[in-house]
Amino acid sequence: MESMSARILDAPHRTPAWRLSSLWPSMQLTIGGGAVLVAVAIWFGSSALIDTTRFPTPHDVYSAGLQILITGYAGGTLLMHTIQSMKLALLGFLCGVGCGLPLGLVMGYSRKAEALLNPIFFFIKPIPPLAWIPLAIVWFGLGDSAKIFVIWFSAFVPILINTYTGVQSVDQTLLSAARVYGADRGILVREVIVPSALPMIFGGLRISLQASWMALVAAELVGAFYGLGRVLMIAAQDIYPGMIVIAMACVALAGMAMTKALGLLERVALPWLRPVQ
Amino acid sequence: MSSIQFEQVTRVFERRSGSYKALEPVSLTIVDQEFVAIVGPSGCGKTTLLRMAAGLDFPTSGRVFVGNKPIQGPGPDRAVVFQQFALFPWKTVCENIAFGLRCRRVPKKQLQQLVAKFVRLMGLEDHEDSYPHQLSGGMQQRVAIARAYAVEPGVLLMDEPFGALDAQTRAEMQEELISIRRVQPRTVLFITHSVEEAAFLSDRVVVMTGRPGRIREVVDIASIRAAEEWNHRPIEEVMSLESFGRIRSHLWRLLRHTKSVEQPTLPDTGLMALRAAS
Amino acid sequence: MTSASTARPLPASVTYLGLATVGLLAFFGVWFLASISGLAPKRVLPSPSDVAVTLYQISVHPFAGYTLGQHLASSLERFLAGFALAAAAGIPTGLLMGWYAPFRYAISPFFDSLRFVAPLAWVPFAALWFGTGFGGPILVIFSGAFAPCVINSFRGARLVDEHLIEAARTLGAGHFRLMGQVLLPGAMPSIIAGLRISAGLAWQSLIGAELIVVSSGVGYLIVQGQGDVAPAVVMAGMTAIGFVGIAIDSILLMIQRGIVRRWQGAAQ
Repeated sequence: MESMSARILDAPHRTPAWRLSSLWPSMQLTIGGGAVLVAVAIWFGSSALIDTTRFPTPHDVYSAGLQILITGYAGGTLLMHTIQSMKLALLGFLCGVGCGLPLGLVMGYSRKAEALLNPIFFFIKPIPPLAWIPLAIVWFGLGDSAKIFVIWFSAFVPILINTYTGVQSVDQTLLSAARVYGADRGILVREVIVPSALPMIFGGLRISLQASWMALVAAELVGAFYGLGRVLMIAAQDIYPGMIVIAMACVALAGMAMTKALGLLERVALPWLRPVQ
Repeated sequence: MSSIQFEQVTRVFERRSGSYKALEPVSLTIVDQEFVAIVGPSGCGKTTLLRMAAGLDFPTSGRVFVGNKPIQGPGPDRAVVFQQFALFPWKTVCENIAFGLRCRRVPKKQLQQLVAKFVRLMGLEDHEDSYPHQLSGGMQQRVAIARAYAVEPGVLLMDEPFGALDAQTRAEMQEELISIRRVQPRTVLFITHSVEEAAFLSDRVVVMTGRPGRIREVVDIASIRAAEEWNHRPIEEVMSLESFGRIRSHLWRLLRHTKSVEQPTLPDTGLMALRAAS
Repeated sequence: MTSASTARPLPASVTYLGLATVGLLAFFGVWFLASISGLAPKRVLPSPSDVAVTLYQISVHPFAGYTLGQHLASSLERFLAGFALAAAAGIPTGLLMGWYAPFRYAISPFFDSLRFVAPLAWVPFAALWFGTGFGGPILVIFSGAFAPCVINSFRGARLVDEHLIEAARTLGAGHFRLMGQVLLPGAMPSIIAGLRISAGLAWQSLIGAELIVVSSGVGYLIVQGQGDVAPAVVMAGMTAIGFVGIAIDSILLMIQRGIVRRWQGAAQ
C-alpha cells in the first residue's frame, strides 16, 4: 500500500516512468520475483567458482538438507533439533512472562511498588541478556537450567517494562469515566486498566519472544547437546557450510512461525483494535 | 432532589512555576431539572466547575453540594458526558452502555432491558455489537449519552459534548437532546463554547470570564423558551426568531467584555407578555 | 479521597526517593548477606564488595591477556565499526525503499527473509570466514544492527508529511532539493530513533559474538572468567558491559534530542 508521499514522488514531474507502479499492482511481484530469480540464477551459475569451504553451492545446501532431514546430524534429525530448541525457548519465555507480566502490573498500578523496584531494574536492565550466559554456566553448569535461566531473563525485562508502561499510560479520561460510572477497584483493574494496557503488553510479548529465541540460539552455540544452535556449531567445526545454511534457515523459519502465532493470538484477543498499517 | 450548588468555590492550582488561581469565589445554584449552560473563553474555569460537580476535582475553598449533600467523589448519580466521548474501545456499544449498570450490580434481566431501552432511544439498533472505532463521531457521542442516561442519574454533566462533531451532526444532536429531555428530564450542567448552542438548549446561561474565572452574568431564558415553545420547534426556526437573535447578541456582547448598552437581560416583549398572562 | 489509581498525581518526590533508596539497599543488602552467610558458596556468589574490588583489579592487572580498559577498547572498536557499517548501509537502503517503489519491491524479499535470522546464527559463518579475526564480530554486529536502521529509515521516509511535500513542490522545488531539504529532515527523527535501537542490538550482538569467536574484548573476558570459575570477574565484566551500554544509549539520546529540536524546527 503506497503512502501519499511515495505517490507524490512518483508523480510525473521528473520521472514519468515510475507512474506505472500505481497502475500496475502486480509490478511488486514481478520485480520482487525477478530479483530473487536473478540472485538464485547467479548462485547456481557460479557454483563452480565458489570456495566450498567457505560458502555453500545450491547442491551443498540441498544435500545437507536431505541429510539432516532423513539420517540426522549432530545427534538427531532436523525435526528433533527444532522441537528441542523451540521447547526450551518457549519454556523460558513463558517463565519470564509469567514473572514479568504480573510484576509489571503491580509496578504500573502502585507508584510505591514502582519506587521500590525501579532502581534495581535500572541496574539490571542495561546488561545484555547474553552477558548472563557465563554467569549462568557458573551457577547451573552446562545443562538446560543455565539456558532456561538466560532465556527467562531475556523474556523478563521487555515484558516487565512494556507492561508497566502500558498500565501507566492508561488514558486519564477513561479512568475518570470509569470512576464516574461507579467502578470499584476490581472492575477498574479488570475492565479498564488491563484491556487498555493489552496492546502494549502484546508489544512486549513480541519483543520478549524475539529476545528469548535469540538467547536460545546463543546459549546453544556456547554449549549444548542438541538443538539448532548445536547443529550450527558442529557444522562450523566440520566446515560444512551447506548445513550452516540449513540451520540458519530453520532458525529464521521457526522464529517467524512463533512470531506469526503470537500475532494471531493478538488478533483474537484484541478484536477491538483499530488495524494499524 | 437533584440540585447542584456551588458555594463560594475557588480553585488554586499549584504548579512548579507558582500557584495559579483558576477560579475566584463562584457561587451558583442549579435547581432540580434545570438545564444550565456555562459559556466562556478558554481558561475561564468552566470545565473545572464541572469536574468539581462530578467529584473528579475538589475546590480549594468553598463547597459543592448535590441534592444538598456535599460531594465526596465521583458517582453514577452525576453522570458525565465527555468531549472526547471516553468510550471504552475494547467494549462494544452495548457493553459500554451497560458499564455503569454492571458497576452497580444490576441484575442481568433488568440490565438488558435498560440497555435495550436506551439503544432504542438513541437510535443505535444497528450498531449494538460494533466497537467504538467503527462508529462515526456522532454515533460515538450517542453511545456516550446513552451510557449516561442508562444509570438514571439525577444530574447530567456535559463537557462540550458536541465540540468534536461537525456542524450538521451537532445540530442534530442538539435537537435530539431536547427531545430526550422531554421524555427524561434531568438536571443538566452543560459546558460549551458556542453561544448559539447555549441559547438553544438551556433555561439559564451563565457567562464566565477568565483568568481567574468568575461569573460575569446569568441570563435567564426559561420564560421566553416556554412562551415561544422553543422545545417544540425545529432548530432553524428557533434560530430565526427575533428573541433568539437578541439573546445571542447579548451573550456575545457579554463575552466581549463590553457592557450591554441599554437592554435588560430579557427582551421586553416576552417579559411583558408573561407578566400580563399571570 | 477516592480509590487509588494511576490517575493519582505523583506522591511526594521525597517518598519516591525514600522507597527507591530502601529498595536498592535491600537488594544489595540481601546480596551481601547471602554471600557472606555462606548460603551460596563464595565460589558461586561473590559479595558486592568482592565484585567492586575485582573490578578495580582487572582494570590495573591484565586478565585473559589484557586489562579491562584494553578489553573494552577492543570491544568498542568492533562495535563502532559494525554499527557504522550498518548505519551507512541501512539508512540509505531504508530511505530508498521508502521513496522508490521498484527499489522496495526488489529488495524486500531478501530483506524480509534475512531479517528473521537471529544475529548470532551468523557466528558459524563468521568463524568460517574470519576465524578469530576482526571481521567475525563485525559480521554479527552488522546483522543485528542493519534491520532497525532500514526499518526506521523506511518508516521515516514514508511518514513525511505530504503537505510539506506539496508545499515544496508548489514552490518549485526540484527532485534533489526536495530530497535534501524536505524528505531527509522529515525522516530524521525516525532515523535517529532507529539508530538508538540499532545501537542497543549491536552492543548485544557484539557481546554474544565475543562469547565465541574472539580472543579479546569484554565478552571474551567474561567467558574466560567463567572458564576459570571466577564469578567475581564475570560480574565485574557484566557491570562494565552494562555501564558502556548505558553510556552509548545516553549519548545517542542526547543526539536524538538535539537533532529533533533542530531539524524539526527546520522541517516545519
